[in-house]
Amino acid sequence: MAAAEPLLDVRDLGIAFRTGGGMVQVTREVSFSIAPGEAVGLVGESGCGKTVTGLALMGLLPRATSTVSGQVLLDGENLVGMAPRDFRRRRGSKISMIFQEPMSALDPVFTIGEQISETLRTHHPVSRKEARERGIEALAKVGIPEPTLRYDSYPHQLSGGMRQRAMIAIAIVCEPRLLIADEPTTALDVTVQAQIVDVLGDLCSRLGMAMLFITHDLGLVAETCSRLVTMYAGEVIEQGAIDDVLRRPRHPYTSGLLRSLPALAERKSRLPAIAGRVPARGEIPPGCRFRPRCGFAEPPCEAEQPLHAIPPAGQVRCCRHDQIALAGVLS
Amino acid sequence: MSMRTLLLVGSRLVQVVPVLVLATLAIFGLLQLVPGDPAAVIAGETATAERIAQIRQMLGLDLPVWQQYLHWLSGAVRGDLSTSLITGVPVLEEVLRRLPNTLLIVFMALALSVAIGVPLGILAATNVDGRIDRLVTSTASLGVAVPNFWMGMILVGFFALGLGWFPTTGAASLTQEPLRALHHATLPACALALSGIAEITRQLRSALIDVLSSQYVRTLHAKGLPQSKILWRHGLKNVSLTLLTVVGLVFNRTLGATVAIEAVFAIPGTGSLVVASATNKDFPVVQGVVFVLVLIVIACNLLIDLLYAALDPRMSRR
Amino acid sequence: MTGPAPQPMIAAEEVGIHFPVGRGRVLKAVDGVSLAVMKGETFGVIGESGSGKTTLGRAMVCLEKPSAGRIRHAGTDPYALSSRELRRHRRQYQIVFQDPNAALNPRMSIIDSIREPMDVAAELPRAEREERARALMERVGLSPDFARRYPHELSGGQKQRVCIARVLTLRPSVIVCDEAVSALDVSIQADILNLLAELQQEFGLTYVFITHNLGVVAHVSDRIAVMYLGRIVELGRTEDVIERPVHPYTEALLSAEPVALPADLRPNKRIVLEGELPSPVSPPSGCRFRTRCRFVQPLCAEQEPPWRESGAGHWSACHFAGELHLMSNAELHPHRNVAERQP
Repeated sequence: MAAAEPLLDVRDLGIAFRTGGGMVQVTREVSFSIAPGEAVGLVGESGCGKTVTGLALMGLLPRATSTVSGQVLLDGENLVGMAPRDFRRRRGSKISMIFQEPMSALDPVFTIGEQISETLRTHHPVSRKEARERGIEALAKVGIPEPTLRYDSYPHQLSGGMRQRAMIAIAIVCEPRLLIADEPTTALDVTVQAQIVDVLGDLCSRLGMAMLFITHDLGLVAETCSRLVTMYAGEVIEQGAIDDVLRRPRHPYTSGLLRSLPALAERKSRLPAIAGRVPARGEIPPGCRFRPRCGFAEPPCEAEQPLHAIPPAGQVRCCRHDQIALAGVLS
Repeated sequence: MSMRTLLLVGSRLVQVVPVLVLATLAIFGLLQLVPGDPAAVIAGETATAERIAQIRQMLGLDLPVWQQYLHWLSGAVRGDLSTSLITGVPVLEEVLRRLPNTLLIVFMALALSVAIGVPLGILAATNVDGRIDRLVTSTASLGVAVPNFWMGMILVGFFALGLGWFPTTGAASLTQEPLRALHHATLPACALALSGIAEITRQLRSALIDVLSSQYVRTLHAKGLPQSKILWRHGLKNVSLTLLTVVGLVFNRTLGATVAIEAVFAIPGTGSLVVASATNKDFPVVQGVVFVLVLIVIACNLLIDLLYAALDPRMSRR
Repeated sequence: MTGPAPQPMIAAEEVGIHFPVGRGRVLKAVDGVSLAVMKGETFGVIGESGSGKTTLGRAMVCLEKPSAGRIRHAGTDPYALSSRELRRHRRQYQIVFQDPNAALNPRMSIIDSIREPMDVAAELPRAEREERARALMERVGLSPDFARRYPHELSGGQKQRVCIARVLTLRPSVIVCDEAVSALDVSIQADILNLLAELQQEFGLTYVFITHNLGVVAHVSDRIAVMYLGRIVELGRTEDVIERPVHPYTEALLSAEPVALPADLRPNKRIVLEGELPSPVSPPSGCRFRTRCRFVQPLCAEQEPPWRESGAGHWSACHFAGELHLMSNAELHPHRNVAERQP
């Protein structure tokens, strides 16, 4: 259907964790794809499985306590079940990841420069001198002032925003095809967040890099991504072009999320909150997982919900999607 | 950098002074509590009361304690630790003669602790909850619990008396007969090292587990670094601070433990000296030995502080 | 007995809160802040890290003593009270924090946590305390089954409800909410905001809402104060501040807030502040925002901007307040215009 071959094609990704009481399925049937250069937002509330999905794409889940099923095709190669050695060669060079807490995500006893050049030298046979030059270049690319000076700084000498820039520099120094950004601005101030979002957008267009932006903030997705994937209780429940979803969400949960944003509601009005709470892992209801909280639930919702295609390129996991009129951000 | 280091050394040296004063005060004070009269010991069992009083006056033991202390302190500052009440030999001379024997077993024990404890700690941390980890941690717990001297006696019984591989007692000069000295020192050093190995293994294991499960190690995996590089480059540099602290601790403890070990192996070191002089109420010797040992411990801690500052970039700001 | 003008519930007069940070240097977390919170209103305080908003909030409920200036509660100076009177007085002024995990004792059951302030006050008979605690628990939307449970069995939103019930037990007149909903997921956040609004109606509460989240503060507040590096840079009715900001920092803050809107309804240009937040220990001379301001003039470094009223009750601290071409309402909020056009 898609014109271009997708860069990343996730098919039926299922993640299970081994716990004291046996295996617990954390995500199931997670499928989405990302075209080269495309920015896709993965949203959902805490515990929906979005971060775990990001870690699984990177092969960063602990092997001893988790199992990953399905396929993750990066440039046609399946990463699931790939030999650890081969997977490792792709991490940091073809697919990179940045995290929420820039302070704890950087090694405190190595300089920023050492941490950048080490990535480069792991994947490319470059000299120390060249690694330094390219590292400084990467710092400049992410908008760090005085990159030559900052190259020899330690993480604690940088502000939160600068640390996250350094983290991005480390992730992009090998010019990966895909960057997974897991809540990269949640720990930062709004004005700093705006700077970081700008940097990410700029990098994507300059390097032709695709991005999976994992966040709970729909506003950020609207600003940075062209497509939105919504997760709920370990499943993808809706996906589509961001503007389409914002205007006309097809899943009651997506609609509920949009409507509960105070920024878009009338001032001082009562916010249309979603009743109930996200089910805990292991207490997932059968059938539609959102059913207990949904105002539109009917008997058909008690059955397993397949994904329905929404032309041109959307999908929704709701059997009543064409019977109900849901509010978007403008209504 | 050098200016900063100098400042650091300077400030630490200033901090050392009150520690030393407190230590010497404690030594003096504690010895006053010990029952018995050194003058009587020196005079012998049949001496008259006048003779004892005469000796006491000669040694300055009739002066108030604080005067004795000040007198001793002013000497110590000038490098004069007074003379032994019993033998009349200058204390410093005696201490320096015996110190090499003690330091030899201490450093050998320390080297063994690091050489065995570090690999064991790494092995355990990289196999968390595996069979190797359980074996190592339970052995280490045992190692902490077993008293040094008891271990010493077992070693003597087995390797010296039983197999005859090592001498049972004594020491040799490291400068004159280095091989024989090492041979003599092996068993006592092993006995001393046991708790050090256990301590280093346990502390290194838990520190390394923390590091390996940290967020920045996750970043390193995300960068595609091989496991070996993550462990040896990042893991070890991050735990080196913990290691340094533990080594300092183990050194201090090992030095203290020589008192018992030197007794077991009859080594003419400072530990046995302090035991003998304490029994004889030879106060100047006890004070002198403890004073020198305190100096060594303080020097060691100072060294560790400086290494700390060199290793941890976050410390250099202070 | 009351005078002609109503006394503000909280009046801050040139309040400064200073912390020594070593080597004789002083961090002025809050520096010369004046404001008045009126009875029954929701007063929003917005600012980024280092702005001093949390410290100011703590000072409002006597958790931090001003180093300069003074705080008055409905006309009385709390620090002039005897320690016994102060303890009674404090019950009127409560605070809810961001992290309910840190605020709740993990070894105390929910009902005990809620009742605890009354137990400490020891004024009501035990049965009555228990009854009030249960009633409040129900009022904040927790089913009675939770009474004997422990914090770890509750979700973040439920724990925050417990915290809210707990501060209500002493029948306060003012509640300071310090990032009280920031850690919660949006759907839960909306629930708690609704609850807080209902409680305000019901108990005639006055709120001070401290947050970095513009969407939240704009939604709930009647008036807003914008803080930057320990100072209030703009203060006014919410619609004035949000729709027609006069301080360039407010403009930047509004512009930086991501909005979940389709591309054609989003502001097409955005002001991204340059540079870093200066150290609060040595703030810039003159106007503190000048190092990042796009309109900076030499005057800004030389003089502190005066605190001026540019519209009715709309105050700001900028030398050029009212003269700058800040982004217009339509540029900042294209969606509002759309919404207005579609009745």
